[in-house]
Amino acid sequence: MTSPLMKVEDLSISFKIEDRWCRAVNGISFDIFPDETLCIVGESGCGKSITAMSLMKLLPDAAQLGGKVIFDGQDILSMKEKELEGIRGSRIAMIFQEPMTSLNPVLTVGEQIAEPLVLHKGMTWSNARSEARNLLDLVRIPDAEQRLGQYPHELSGGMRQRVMIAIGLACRPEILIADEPTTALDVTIQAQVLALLDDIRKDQGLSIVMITHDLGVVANVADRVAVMYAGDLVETAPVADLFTKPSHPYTQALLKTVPRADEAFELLPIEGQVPPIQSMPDGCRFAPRCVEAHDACNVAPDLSRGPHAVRCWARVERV
Amino acid sequence: MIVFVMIRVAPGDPALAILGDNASQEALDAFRDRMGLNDSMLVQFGRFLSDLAQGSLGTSMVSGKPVVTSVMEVLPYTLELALGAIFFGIIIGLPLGIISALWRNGWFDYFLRVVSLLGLSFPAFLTAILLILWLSIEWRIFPVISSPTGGPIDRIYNLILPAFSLGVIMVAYIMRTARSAMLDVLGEDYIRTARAKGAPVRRLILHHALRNALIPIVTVVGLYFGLLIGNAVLTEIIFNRPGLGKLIVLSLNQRDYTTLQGLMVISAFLIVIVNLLTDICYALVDPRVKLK
Amino acid sequence: MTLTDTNAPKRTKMASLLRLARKNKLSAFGLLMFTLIVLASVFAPFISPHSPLDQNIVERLQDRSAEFILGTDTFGRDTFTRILYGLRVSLLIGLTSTFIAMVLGCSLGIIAGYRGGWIDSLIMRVMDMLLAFPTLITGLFIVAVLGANVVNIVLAITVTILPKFARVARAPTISLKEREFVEAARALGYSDIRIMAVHIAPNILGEVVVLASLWAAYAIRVEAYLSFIGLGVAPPTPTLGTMIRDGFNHILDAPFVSIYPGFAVLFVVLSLNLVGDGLRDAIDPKLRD
Repeated sequence: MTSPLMKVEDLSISFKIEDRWCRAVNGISFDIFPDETLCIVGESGCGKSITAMSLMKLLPDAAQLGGKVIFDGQDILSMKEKELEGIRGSRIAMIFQEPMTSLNPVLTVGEQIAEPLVLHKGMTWSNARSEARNLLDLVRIPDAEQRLGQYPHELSGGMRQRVMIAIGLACRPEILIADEPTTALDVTIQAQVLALLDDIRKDQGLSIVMITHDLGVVANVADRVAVMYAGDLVETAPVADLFTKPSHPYTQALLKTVPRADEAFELLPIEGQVPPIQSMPDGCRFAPRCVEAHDACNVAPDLSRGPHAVRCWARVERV
Repeated sequence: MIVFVMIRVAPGDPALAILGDNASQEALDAFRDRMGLNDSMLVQFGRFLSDLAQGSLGTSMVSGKPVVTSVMEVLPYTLELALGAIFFGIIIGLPLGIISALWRNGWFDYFLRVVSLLGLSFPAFLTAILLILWLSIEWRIFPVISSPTGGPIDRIYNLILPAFSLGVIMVAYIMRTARSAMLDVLGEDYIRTARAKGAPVRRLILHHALRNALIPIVTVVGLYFGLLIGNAVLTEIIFNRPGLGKLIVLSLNQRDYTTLQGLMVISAFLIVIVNLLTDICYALVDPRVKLK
Repeated sequence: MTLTDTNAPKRTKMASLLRLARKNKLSAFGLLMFTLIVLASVFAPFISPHSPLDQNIVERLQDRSAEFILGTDTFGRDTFTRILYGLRVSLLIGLTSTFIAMVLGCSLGIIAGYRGGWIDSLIMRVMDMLLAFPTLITGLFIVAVLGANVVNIVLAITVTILPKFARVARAPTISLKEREFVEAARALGYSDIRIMAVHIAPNILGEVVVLASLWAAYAIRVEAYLSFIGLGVAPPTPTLGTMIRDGFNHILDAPFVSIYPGFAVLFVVLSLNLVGDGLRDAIDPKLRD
């Protein structure tokens, strides 16, 4: 069993809303292993995006963080800004959802790709520029030489996202965090970008943490999956297991809401709604909507161990 | 644009004929005759247009000098005053605005916001008078009567106080715009991306954010240029400097309407040029804008 | 959407506007200051024992004293009283011109935005023309040509700030006229004028009020500038600008003669700016969703 590249231990993120501290992420733990794609899935607002940002401690000061994110023997959450600047963009990189607004409109594409190279690898701007050209080729953008001098508004959405990927990969990071990279793109472009990411990952042997709400994407690229609900991590499993043997009641219900191409059946929405962040239940956060809920669920369950871990009283072996 | 300007300005003339001067009736008649005011409006306007086409703005009613000459004599002084004010505005206002955005809601920010509001509200003559009293008389740093003659060093030295006095307003406006522009920009996604790239804070602000924030700042400078010219009039009077301001007041007192008219045209023309310059600056700063 | 809903946006916006204005301390302070100033100037004869015109050559050019709160000017007249009376002029001219400009400007802007087409182009062309000139210089010119009295000064200032209101009123009108409650009103057969006045105008009110307070501050300043240059209301009526100018000759030995009226202008302008600024902060992030 290889040791994990990154260990997230009991991560919690809280915000002050109307003078009360509310936990948006409720003490979650997971590992990231080398050379894998881990997908973090969940509905909008379940906390997956802020979890991703906390892996680089990229959250605004207004957020209070608890727990640890251990990378290369150090806890990222307790590192100083200066040290973090050295890691961000070079050993861990992140790409975001909206390529139009995520690129600086007044700087050229070439400059934005070259920047991490100059900052972290100490390259000169002209060397970095040639390397940027190679990167554009890597992400399969045609006419690379011309693109270097263009501005973001001159490129299409799919191309901009590839530029983002090029920026992320520039320094050959060990982990690439991708926050819903294809959500804002057309379906056909989505498939291309995902394929690109997958190929690059296999080529360079890096790990990808992909945030998504789309189970289709998960089925496509994931090696392992982590399911989140309302700030809780409810299940982690290898992708095949997740789809064939979903364990947590939420996961099971979730899979029933996804239409499948091979069979015709009824779509079953999940009863109830996600509780607002100010009034989260104390125990298992899914309990109010869970068909298998019972008394024990008033206390938060622990995540079980092993490659297929679940956080549910109903699944714990009764002693 | 300028065509409308001319149409707008010409009607000032019949008012002149209606109101008349303080001079005696005979003098008035002779005067009007000489100036061609007794001709019909159309003829007057036609003459104005033809004069303009030849690059002339008519002759001064008082001194007989061509208006263009009088204006051109003093224009550079006013321009240098205005530029000085903009200079102060940027040098002081921009960094303060940026700092204010960074220390948002801190005591410094609050303090600066109040100060900038004060700076906006100060009438130009009060600033000028207070500055003269404190810096010229009490502390004797700058001369009281600012004369723009002499060598360049002398000229600049004399320019500092009036330009600063005029610049207080610009400082206030630029500071506020810089603050809100920076706040807007810092909240944008691309700043988050730059942070995720590991860019150090200083580079984030100066390189990534500032270039985007400059856009609204350029707008502000162009927008308030008109205000600047107007206030320059007052500043020139108080500091006793030659310039458009003095000319305006002089022509007003002497009822020299041709000069006034010419001044109006020049002012409008200036504004048009400033707008053009602003547009050019936009194209320089924002690559999304294309020059026509 | 029921019929009564067409009234809903108007009322709740006004109520929340007032609530937010109260929350913002700076603007409340500005409002207080302004009210005090207005009251002081209105009740001037009751506040001060002196008359603004009484000359007293013996006592001229004195600084603050028990008898003359803010000192005397070149002719021995009590500065404090003159400031109060001068404020009357400034406030009268400033507020009237702002009000007229607001009403006229907004009406023109709304009409232009609502009707569109050639009316829009015509109105906006005229507005652009007016905007082509630096505002102070335009006002100056108008007063110079037409003569310096209250009416002309009000006219001049109104003309210079009118286009600003028109611009601001036009933009939201264009977007508002596409919304459902306007369509509902039109379907009910309400006349255009009624729609514009009752349905569109109140929704613009917030931004307009902010603008009005800021331009009122400006208008008062312009009045002071004009009288400083010599284009103000004729003596012996005291105006703040003339007072400053008269005192200018004695700037070295009796600077206070100019300074006190100068500060008076400052306070009035500042209070209005505070109100306007505070209101603008109150409106911007919260009401605009």
